[in-house]
Amino acid sequence: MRRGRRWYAVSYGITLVALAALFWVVCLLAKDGLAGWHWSLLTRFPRELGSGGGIGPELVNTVSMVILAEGLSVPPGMAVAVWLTDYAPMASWVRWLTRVLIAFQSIPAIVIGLIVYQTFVDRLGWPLSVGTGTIALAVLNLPAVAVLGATVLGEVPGRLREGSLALGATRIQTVWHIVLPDALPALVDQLGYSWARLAGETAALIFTAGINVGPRWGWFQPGETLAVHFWYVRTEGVMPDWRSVAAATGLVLVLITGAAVAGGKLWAARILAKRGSGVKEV
Amino acid sequence: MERHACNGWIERWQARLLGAATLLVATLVLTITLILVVGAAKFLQSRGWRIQVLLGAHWNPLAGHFEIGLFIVDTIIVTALAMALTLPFGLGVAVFGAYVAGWRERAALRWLLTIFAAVPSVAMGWWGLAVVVPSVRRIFGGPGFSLLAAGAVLAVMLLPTFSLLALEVLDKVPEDWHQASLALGASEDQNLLQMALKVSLPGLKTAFLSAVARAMGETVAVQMVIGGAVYGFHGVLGPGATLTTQILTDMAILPLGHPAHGVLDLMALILLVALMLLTTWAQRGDDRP
Repeated sequence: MRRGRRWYAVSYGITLVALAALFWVVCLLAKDGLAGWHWSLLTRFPRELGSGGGIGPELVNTVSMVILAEGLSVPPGMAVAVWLTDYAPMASWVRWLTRVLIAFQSIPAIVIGLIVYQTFVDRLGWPLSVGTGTIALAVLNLPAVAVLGATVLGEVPGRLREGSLALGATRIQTVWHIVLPDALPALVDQLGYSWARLAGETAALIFTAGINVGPRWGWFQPGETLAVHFWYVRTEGVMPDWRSVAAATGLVLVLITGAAVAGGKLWAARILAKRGSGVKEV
Repeated sequence: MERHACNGWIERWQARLLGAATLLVATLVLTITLILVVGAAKFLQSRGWRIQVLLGAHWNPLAGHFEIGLFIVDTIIVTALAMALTLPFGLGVAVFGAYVAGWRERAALRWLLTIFAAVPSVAMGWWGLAVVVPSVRRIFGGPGFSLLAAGAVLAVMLLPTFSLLALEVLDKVPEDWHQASLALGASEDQNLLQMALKVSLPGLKTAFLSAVARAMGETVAVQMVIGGAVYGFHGVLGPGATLTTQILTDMAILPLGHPAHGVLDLMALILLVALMLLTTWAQRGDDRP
């Protein structure tokens, strides 16, 4: 060890401890989850009292609700992002709007759950269902898409826009043919994070999607997700095998979120590789 | 000429359409805020606008006592504990990733942190129940369900995100500055403490405050390990309840028609106001060059 590098050694030690703690979480989950693992877990219905319940409907609910919520929130969110980066005037109220959106991006999920519960369940009489949960996820995601989308689009070099506009393209043509394709890898990356965040969401869904599943999938059918099932079984489950059911549910959930993030990153890297390095270097 | 006019018309409508989307999102944000403000105001009015509601600790919904001071204090304590644990570890990981690690280790570290950052908070709560709560019980005695356990679980939950953000910030310090600092005779330690960390301070502050926002707003990971005690303050090693966990607990007990439902809106509004203050504070540093 060279002199005068004590803090480097300290940071090395700290990193090992930090990674050990994080690996502890995932490895314990894997160990407990695999202890009672059976593949039919993925297809069976959950059981409230007896052992041998599965997570089939929860799996379907999670995937379908995330897809629907992304579908509801990404188009308007990206429209806001485009407006903020390419259309917004230089005005103080735009800065304020951005600031409010940034705050709402990290709004406690339980607050969104409370609002959606009040509005859709109490006032409109919607049941605790796939639909209500999807709305909650979409509302939760919308400010995040706008803010992160605007950040990503803002990183597209201004000279690309100027070149396009100078050649006579309109603003929307510039956005569609130049800005969005250039930002595509970063957008795909963010989509992965967003998918993981929604799939792992619990607090906003307990009182909107509910803690039950229906006999079949439907917009107004009870819409318990994997994350909610994980929470419910671990904290209130009374089935004899709650320990292994909870851990197995958690393991599937962590695999899904990890795959979403990794998939987004790998897909983004593939787009970048296909594009080739020559074009951007000019 | 004809064509140009036509394009102008189309372009105006394209801009309006995008503006309409922004208006929609702004309306949504405003509506959420208004719902909370109206609900909270109605509740405070029914209590005669007494400040006791915010400062007192007498919480008993069935007997009609709604004082949320305890939850505010517990929220602050849990957030402070979480940040006190996350900050040194997060900075350590960031320094290692930005300055110490070779490119292979750095790439691996980034991948790991990214994957860990995606682990849902409910999984952290599960780990807290399995590991942290029994450890607190064994080491300090008591029930184990405690503010300390909640802080520790939050710290592990925040660690990957905070480390990644801090790593990005430290990475942005220009290589020239390191070279200049070292050429002037600074040791690596002096360079790190007196140059790199110092010039990164505004960025680190933003990363820190976004972690604070997440710690404050987290619900299930805290709810699973904090014990949910609403009668009196039991110390850091005792159980408690934060604003978020109490909203979750009482949402079923106090439905919309209930006269005291507004207290949930009040708690949510407090979280929202705190969040706005944090965001404004975080942005202030960024605006300065």
